[in-house]
Amino acid sequence: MKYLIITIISLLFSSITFAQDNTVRFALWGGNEDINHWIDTYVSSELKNKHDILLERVPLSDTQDAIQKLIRDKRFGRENGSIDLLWLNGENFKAMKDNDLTWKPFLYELENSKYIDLKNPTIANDFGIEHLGYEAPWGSAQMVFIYDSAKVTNPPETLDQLTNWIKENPGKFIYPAPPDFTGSVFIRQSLANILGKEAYDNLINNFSVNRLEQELPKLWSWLKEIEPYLYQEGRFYPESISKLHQNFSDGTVWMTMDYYPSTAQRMIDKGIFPKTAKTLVLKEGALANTHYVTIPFNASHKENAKTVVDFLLGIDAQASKLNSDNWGDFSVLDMSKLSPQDAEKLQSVDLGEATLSLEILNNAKVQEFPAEHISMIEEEWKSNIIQR
Amino acid sequence: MEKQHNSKIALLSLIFLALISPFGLFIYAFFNVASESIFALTESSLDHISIYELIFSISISAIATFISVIFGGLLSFYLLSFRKKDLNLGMLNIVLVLPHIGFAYIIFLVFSDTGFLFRFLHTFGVHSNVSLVNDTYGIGIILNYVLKEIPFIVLYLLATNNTKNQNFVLAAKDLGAGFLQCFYKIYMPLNLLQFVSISIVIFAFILGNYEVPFLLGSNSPQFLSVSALNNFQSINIDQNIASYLKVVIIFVTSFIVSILLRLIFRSSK
Amino acid sequence: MINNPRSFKIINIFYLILLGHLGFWLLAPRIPYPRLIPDTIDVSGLIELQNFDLFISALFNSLLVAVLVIAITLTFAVPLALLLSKHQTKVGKVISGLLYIPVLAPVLLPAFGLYEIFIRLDIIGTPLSVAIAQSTILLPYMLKPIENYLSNKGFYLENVAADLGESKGRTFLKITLPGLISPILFGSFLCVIGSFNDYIIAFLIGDLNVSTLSVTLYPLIQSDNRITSIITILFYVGPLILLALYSSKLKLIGKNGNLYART
Repeated sequence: MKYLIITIISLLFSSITFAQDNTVRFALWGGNEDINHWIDTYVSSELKNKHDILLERVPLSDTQDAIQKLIRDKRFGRENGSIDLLWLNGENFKAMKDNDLTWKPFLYELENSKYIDLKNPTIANDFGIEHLGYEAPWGSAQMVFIYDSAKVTNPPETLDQLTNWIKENPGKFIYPAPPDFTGSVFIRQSLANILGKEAYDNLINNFSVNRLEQELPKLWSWLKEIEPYLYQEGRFYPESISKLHQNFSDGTVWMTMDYYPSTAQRMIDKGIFPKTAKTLVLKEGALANTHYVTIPFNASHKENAKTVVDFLLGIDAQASKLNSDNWGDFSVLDMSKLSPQDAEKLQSVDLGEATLSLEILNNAKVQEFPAEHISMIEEEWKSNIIQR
Repeated sequence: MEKQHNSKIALLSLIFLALISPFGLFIYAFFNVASESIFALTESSLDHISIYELIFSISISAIATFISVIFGGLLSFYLLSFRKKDLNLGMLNIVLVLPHIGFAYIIFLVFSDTGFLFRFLHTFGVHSNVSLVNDTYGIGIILNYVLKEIPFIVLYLLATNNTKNQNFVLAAKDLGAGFLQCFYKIYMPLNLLQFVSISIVIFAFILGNYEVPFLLGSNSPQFLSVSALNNFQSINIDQNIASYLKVVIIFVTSFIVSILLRLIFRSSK
Repeated sequence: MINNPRSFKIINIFYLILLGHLGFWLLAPRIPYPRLIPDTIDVSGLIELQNFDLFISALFNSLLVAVLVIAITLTFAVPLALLLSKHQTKVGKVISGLLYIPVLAPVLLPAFGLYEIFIRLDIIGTPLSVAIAQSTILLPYMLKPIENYLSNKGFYLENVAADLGESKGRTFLKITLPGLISPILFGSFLCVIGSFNDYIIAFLIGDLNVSTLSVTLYPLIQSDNRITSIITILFYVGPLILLALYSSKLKLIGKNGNLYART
């Protein structure tokens, strides 16, 4: 009985312990086992060995959970937060900026920031917002379609060809439901493809909600046009990209999509996708963006978090990240600013057969949407497509 | 006099103890949520509450409760006729302790359109495009709760069964009553209190649960608890208020249903 | 009399298939629909990818929270049950009824309602706060077995001891408490299951700081079927170990294989 009481009291005390000084709590979306594994193994061990930092990965179902938590922290005046580093971009960064949740422009204080082309608009702007150094670029992504070349003998190259292919092969295509990240990108990209590059660039550069409202009906009519030919006649849109990938793996759909061009190769190597899987982008373009990491205003270990970010921007971490065995996420480093040996480290990484070349990807690049209107598009998708 | 005095002290200390216990915290939490929603209510926050979702959630919960209680009751009545030593409820015990979220995964893996069941049926030539999970009728959700709660109901009814009632059952059987007749004319009425109690608990649980409808529900209509959490996580203040209101609605609905069922029970006595 | 145990075994087998089929998904990374047997059996990728350290520490966190829940509910359930069963007046019955209302509440209620006050008290994001929030819903599960037991048992022996001049404290320790062990164990079993089951409270009140089993495994819902399978199996491990412990050491599962309420 005595021992029971002592155990309980010691447990009670241990439950109010604080993290050690050299810990950094890194919150990221936890739905991808490969990313989780890479962070837990390579990144953690390098940080421990080189900088004596204990990295603690905090898995999130949705980055918005963390943002919402930070908003509550700010509202209730919580100074010692439980997140030191956060992986995010786009609308989430906008929410942080609008609610004053960021720390300071720490990017320019980082050693490795000199290897990044900070003036490049795709790096300086996060979904149309200038981050001004409050977040650091980490990697880049571009939307691609993944198809099974054994079944799709004539892969579509334009939006019209895609539409025809969907109609000729009913039940073999579907997209995830927004607000899933990839589903959301797909509908934005479809809008860009329907408008065409010029009209879309015009819309983005001279943006107004009215202009957007005028163009959106074109998107809804296209989505409704293909709906009867979707998987299960569009009765249910998978709520996450992983469910769509599972369907692709099962062979019930013949096309899927992803925001990382090297996902296909990674999945083939793991045996989840068929060996005949390949990627494509449409001539009308593919949405591309950079993703970032930021340090919240109430991080408990800000300086250590800075060290972690600097490490993540280093050539070794970026090359390791690029390797499709680990993650396959593209680097943000500017090749022209790197030394020849460092540039070689990036170029020597084999992206795999299924991944498109950087040249093709770069040519297809289309800029992303302004962050503040993305949730509006997602809401309208729900009311136009789902709620009958 | 002394007894009255003692009992007054006992009553006061009971009330005091209840208030400082987790129950008191519960009351505090409820008033907090109620005040944040009811007093901060605006028209735009009401936009985020859909009557259709409310009706959907309540009907799915009611159907799932009804089916699982009836089947659980039938099964426990059936099991009562066994000799005790023949009865081994091994698997039911295991299902009982499993987390609901784990069981929901199993239902997903078995009953989804490319799940185990349909692959199995396919080998016998049964091709179908039906999806039992993530459908708009909530079949997957009902299936999950029925399969998960039946062991719970069976064990509860077996444990609380009054052995004196067995005599009535035997008498009825001697007079030629069938299994179903014995069940709903004798077993259910004699154990009505247990049936009512377990139905209330299960209904309230299903209505308020989050993980299962999230995993097995469809895009629309969503369960009230799922949309409540979505609203809570949103950056929009109106949605936050709506989320609190939805929680209050769920709680009040369960409370009203429990009172209704108890009244029905009292009146049927 | 229906005396056919075989027809009941069907139900056991049904659940066994339901739970056991998970092994099917582990056989290969990719099993195209509608195959039941994969081309090649390849379980190599499974072990490498799993972070077992994370899993073990998540299991430990869940256990910690569960133990705290038991401690908190027990502290209040025993005195409440004693008072309720000793003084069964009308008001007492009303209070007893009220104490079971949290059973009807959705799990979101304490999660939403207690968030602010935990921040003010600066205990947010600790296992203690998660345990306190879970106790608001789990208290009735500890209370009911104890209350039922005490009401049925009566207080004859305690009264005799009081008449013989024994102090109340010693009476409680030596007479009442030993008998309470059984309902306490059952109540704590229910509390542990309830605590392990919970995701929402651990997620919101734990504030991304308390990684219980549910919180750690939940984001992985968005994965392929093989990972989902492993996650489900991992979800079972904790409760199954507990079930084994409770049933072997504490004989909670009776001779018939029933998990019956010793109430």
